[in-house]
Amino acid sequence: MDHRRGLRMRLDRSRVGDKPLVLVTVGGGGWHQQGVRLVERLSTAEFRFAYVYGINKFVTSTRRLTMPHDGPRYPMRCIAQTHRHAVRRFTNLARFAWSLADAFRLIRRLRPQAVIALATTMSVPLFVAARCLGIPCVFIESLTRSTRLSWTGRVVYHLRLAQRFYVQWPGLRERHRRATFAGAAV
Amino acid sequence: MILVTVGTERFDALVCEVDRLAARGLIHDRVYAQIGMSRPAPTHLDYVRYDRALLDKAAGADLIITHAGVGSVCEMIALGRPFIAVVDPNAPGDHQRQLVEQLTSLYDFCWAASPDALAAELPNARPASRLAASGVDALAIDITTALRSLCNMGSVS
Repeated sequence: MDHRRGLRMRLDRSRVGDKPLVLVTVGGGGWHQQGVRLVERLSTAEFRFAYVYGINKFVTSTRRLTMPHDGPRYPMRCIAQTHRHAVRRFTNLARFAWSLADAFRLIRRLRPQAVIALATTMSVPLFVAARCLGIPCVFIESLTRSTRLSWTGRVVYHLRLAQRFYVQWPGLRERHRRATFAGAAV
Repeated sequence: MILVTVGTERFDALVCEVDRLAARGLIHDRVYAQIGMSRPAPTHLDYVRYDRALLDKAAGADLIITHAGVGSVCEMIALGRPFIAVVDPNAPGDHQRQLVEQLTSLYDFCWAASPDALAAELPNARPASRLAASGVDALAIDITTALRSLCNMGSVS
């Protein structure tokens, strides 16, 4: 009992004068725009930020994307989009394993207090790693999804990988009672 | 100057349609097109594959014709220049059409259901005007509240 109280005090003391670290995914294209709109509204007085961006042979430009608040940036191998190339579904199995390994390495190294992901395929491996290590996750479904969740959204929602699951249109909230609708990042 | 953008991927039908309109003289202004990975390359337009200064060019354009991707449409809404968002009917899950239909509940702007409908919409191009609050601030506040509670939870678990 005393040992547990001591551990809790040590954990609390480690945060005195220090702000919680939040790990945020950086996606390309529209995901980046939505991420910027949200992150610029989160306070640096309350949180520190670190960013993770996906890399694979189809996606190389996300490392150059800027985010509103300063913070270290880390690459993570990620799966490729599957909708236009059926063959990628098989190679993506291998990529997912690499991605999961990268996610565990990153989460273990950074030990963030929370992970925020905006509908990128990086969400699943990051959230699996974070949940295994007891770190809470927040998922925000893409603005483009108004009637049906994305594949990533469905996996995160049904496997309950995120403590908070946001949708950006009220119609989706009606179909998914564990989701939260508070507004849209536009 | 008319600026055309297809985002980071490709939109062959839009590039072909604008090229066709320019060839037939239905577009008189100079056209600068960012065509991404679109094929074939246009013959009646000035084009680049990608342009990091595209937003600066868009700020000075008289008309912007953009694909209806979420990033581009949101940028054009914020930019306040006349634009037309053109839906790619082949986009996965028809998500571009869903997006513009939803966005029209928040903003008034011009959009075309496909590149074939672009010519008819050209006279209707206008800057976006807000119809209702998007709730982005409320969303950020809710996320901040959630983070406060989750971060505290994480520290003692």
